[in-house]
Amino acid sequence: MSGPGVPDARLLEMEGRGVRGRDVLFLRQWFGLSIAETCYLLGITAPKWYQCQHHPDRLVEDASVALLVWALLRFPEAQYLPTFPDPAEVYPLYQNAAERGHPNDSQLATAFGLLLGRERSAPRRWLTAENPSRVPPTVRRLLFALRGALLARGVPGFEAWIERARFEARSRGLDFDTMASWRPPAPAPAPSAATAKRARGRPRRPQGSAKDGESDE
Amino acid sequence: MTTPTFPDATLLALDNRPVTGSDLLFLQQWYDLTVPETCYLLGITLLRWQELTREVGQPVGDPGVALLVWALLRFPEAQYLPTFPDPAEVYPLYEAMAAQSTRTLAAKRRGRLGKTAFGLLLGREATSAGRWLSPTHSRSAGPSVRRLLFAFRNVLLAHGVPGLETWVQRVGVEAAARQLNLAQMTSWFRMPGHSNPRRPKPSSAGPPRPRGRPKRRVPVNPDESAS
Repeated sequence: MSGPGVPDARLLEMEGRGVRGRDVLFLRQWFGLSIAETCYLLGITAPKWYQCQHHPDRLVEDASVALLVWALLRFPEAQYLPTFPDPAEVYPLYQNAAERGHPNDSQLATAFGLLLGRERSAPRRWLTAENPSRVPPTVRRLLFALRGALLARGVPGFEAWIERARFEARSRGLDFDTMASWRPPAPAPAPSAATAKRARGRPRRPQGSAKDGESDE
Repeated sequence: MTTPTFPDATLLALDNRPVTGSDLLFLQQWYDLTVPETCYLLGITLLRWQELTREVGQPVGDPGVALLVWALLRFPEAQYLPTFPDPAEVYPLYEAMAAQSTRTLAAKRRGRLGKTAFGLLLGREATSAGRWLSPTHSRSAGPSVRRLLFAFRNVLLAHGVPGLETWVQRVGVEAAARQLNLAQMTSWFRMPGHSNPRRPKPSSAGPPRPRGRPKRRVPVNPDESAS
């Protein structure tokens, strides 16, 4: 959700006409927002959003929303959405803290994904130069928080984060230092009778059962 | 949505237990957020919010959400939600700019831009500012207006009087697009002396329905009905 530049409102020819549904759709696309994020941006509910989506040529009914759309498209200083960092921006801070706090801990050196509630292997996908995979919204927010904690508190902030991740892992029956993912461990094998293979598909009709209303009788 | 003071995580005793659904509700209440705003805060969908808060005593399944809630309650520097101003915070700035502007809402209207225009410039009624700014019974502005106040304040701070005049001009365009006249209007929904232009009564509408609960029917005498 890194904020792109403010679009030139003149390109939209907005100066001589009222704000319409399609301008709201444009705003969403320009800033690369999800529907939920656009609703937050404009302080509207999802039904109001869908009204704009379904009637792109209709005037935006709420004058406050119309003025807000215009202001956001017209003035860079009107922006208020936070810009969440990419993993590549926070990773060097994490690496630095890990090396300083735990210089010989090879497991911790690869725990960046786990500290963000994802798999140990996730950063490889996020940090690849070619086609990095999309980072989920919750992780973008966690990156913001982790960056803030590392910048403001350094290694003690990093230690507090690790301790919390260890605690959350323990409460899920996991060992943070050895786990590869937050997925809960597989349940213990059930008794042999219950593990008997069930036939796949629809259960077979018992022999001699009634068919299409026919009775055995 | 003015950011309140930072909650003390130790009060929640979060250090010795996992994050639960009740902590999500606490976060929402502490920051005085609506449900969609809390969903934005945590980067989750409305459906996910409902799942997570259905059983408030249960630990939050998603470790990412659990860590985020903990971080937001633990570190003041982890906050990222913007703080939107109240009308009372922006009004003095607007008043100062309006005093320097030669612009009035309309030539016929006496006086410069004032309290009446403030509500209209924020897409609300002419009387809204009186309610927002009342020292005794002030009413809070809605979510869209709070955001608009943020934008309005920053435009005034960055552009001064020309910024205010651009804003007034834009309000005029929006009003004209709704067949309203900024010089006379008191509301974005109707012109004084006119019926609501955007919500005309259907011609097929019958006589007005009586208000309130329908009256109980007088019981019919069975003997009379039978005859």
